[in-house]
Amino acid sequence: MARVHSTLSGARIVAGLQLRRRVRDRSALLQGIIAPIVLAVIITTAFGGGRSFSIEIGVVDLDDGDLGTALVTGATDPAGNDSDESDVELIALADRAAAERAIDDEVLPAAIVIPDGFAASLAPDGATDRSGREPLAVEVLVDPGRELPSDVAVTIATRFAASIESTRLAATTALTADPALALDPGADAIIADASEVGLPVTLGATAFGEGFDPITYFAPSMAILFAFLTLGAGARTIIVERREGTLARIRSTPITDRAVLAGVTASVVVVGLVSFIVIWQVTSAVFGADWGDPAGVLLVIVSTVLAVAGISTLVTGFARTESQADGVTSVLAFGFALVGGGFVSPGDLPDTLARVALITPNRWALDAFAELAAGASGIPAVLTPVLVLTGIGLVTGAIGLSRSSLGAP
Amino acid sequence: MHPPNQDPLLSRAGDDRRVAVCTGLRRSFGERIAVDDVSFSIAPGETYGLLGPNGAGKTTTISMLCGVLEPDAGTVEVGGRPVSPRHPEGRGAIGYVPQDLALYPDLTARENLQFFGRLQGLRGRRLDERTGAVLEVVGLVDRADDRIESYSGGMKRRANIAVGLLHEPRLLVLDEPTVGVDPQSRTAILDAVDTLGGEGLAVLYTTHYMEEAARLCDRIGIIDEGRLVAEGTRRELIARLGSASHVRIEAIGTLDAFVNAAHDLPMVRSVSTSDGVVDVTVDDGRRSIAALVETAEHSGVEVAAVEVIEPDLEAVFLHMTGKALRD
Repeated sequence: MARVHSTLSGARIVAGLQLRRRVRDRSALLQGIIAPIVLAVIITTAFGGGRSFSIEIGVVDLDDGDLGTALVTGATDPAGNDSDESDVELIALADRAAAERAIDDEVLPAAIVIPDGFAASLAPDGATDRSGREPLAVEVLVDPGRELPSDVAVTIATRFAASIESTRLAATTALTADPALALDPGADAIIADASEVGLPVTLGATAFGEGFDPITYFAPSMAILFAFLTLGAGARTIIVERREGTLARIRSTPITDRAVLAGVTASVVVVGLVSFIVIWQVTSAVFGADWGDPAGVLLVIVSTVLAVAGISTLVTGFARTESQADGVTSVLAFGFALVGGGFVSPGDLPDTLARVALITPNRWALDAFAELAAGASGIPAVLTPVLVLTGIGLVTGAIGLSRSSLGAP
Repeated sequence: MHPPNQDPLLSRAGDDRRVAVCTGLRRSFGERIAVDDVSFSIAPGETYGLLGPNGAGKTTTISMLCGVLEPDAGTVEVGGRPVSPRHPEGRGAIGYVPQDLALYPDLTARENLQFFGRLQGLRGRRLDERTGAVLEVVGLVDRADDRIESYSGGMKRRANIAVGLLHEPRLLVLDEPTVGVDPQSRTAILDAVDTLGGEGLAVLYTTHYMEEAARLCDRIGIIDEGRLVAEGTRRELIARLGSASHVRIEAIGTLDAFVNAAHDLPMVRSVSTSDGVVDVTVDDGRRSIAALVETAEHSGVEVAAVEVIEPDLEAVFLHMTGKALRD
């Protein structure tokens, strides 16, 4: 008498079969890998193939000093190139009130405010206590509904502050090691020169040098779109197998329904992950896309696939027929891509739509990918979207599975 | 007629050798009762036929027997173990061959067998041995590594049966295995079932083909509208007809008046009609012909042909249910 398979053992057998069939299915290869890459390349080409979109951020330089000028130069033209090709355009504003008005009126998504006396607060203060002073804070005003430009503004300010801080630290270290240097009348000039040379290069190279290549944005965008179609087909396996009679035969063996569902779900997730990772690697190797910190990218990919798999399972759970599930999945795939900004540059979504976009997993995923492409690294940088995407996946997946009764043969 | 559970032919309670025992199975879908109080058992080496028209409840009964469908009431035991969706452990004793071709067309026969073999708990060399053995039995060794989608209809049917035999079950369940099969493959399938029964395997065979049930089955259960209306050997079932005969009349015209008039004849037990054919169960076939033909003419019906059919399972079905098996 055969023993009942454990859920894990049974699920592994079922998942193995599903994966074997997907690998042989050339349409899955086309839909899961080739089509997203081709479409991403086409859209990228349509956008001019280079850094074709820009983000406008306000700057209020109340200090009116060299550091404010350095910020503007560094952010918009880090290597001294033609400023027309820059991703970020900083718009000078007269005062803080003007910045607030521009954000309220949705003219600008964010503004950086350099306070009056900022440069002076960084300046050396006597020979013996250069490290004891707290510099004034650079303020960033943001429109919460426009997440990406806001993140860009915060990143500019953060890099700006970090660059200044590193210069201050170097000077302090030097003066601490050799107090006599503080008495040198040329010391302040040396420190000032170091700041002016180092700041723009650091800011430009790490924050916005090559980060917003459209292929880096549209590759994940298309990957998500096609993941809905590919994973939707996988999730419909239960319906197809019920129609073809193989489900009844599987259920006549010593395997639990839970193992069957787990196996099908696992195969769907694996197909999604493989598809996404291949797109990531191919666009990186062939088209030079820089998706950013690999650990972060992997984390976002996993959470995105979970979200898409969960939604696909939900659709399958409520659909009465295979064609109904297919139709709803297609509508969702393209609807989410449109609403979520999958076909337009980041920051180009109208403000209202940008808020609505947050109901789509596409928006959360694309924001996270853009964040990583912009140079953010580490899990904290993408923690919120990862949690949201995972939550979407778990909740929708659980509801879908609870509805996905294997049913009568 | 006895209710099924009180029918002396149904009771095998004292037989400890039974491989499969179904007791009081009942299942409804919404308001419709698909299976109602069905009980039967099957002994080792016995081929049990479940005979009934399409929609009679055969597949629903099989689904409960195989543990795929939870009964509303009743129990199933196979090999001494309970079988149901909640008790999948008993399913390992069952080889299920569904009516439809439950195979993956994009996989080879060997890959299909190995997948279902793993689900049945077979591994490694044992799985390879059993795969080779059943391919041999169904004559598909040469095509084992071809995809199922490249097979002919008959080959697909044989591969379908091979999966059911793979894990050496104690009970083989065949659900209408010859539907849509060419005559040559049909003969091959019937021969294979005959052989398997002879080797000690218990077989449950559902069909709506009377001649298949008559040829293969040691005992037959007649099922109609979800109820097991009679059960026994072919001889036992035909004996229930007593002196009754089956007269088949091919007629031209409006048959309703004839059918009503025939019902009123004293020697007529039951009448059914389909596609210009009127089937009548009478006490004495040959002596009733003249009365039936006369009644037809009085009813405005032209009789094209009359045939007295010797007592068979179809006559039994007509006698037990009041309708022809093909209805």
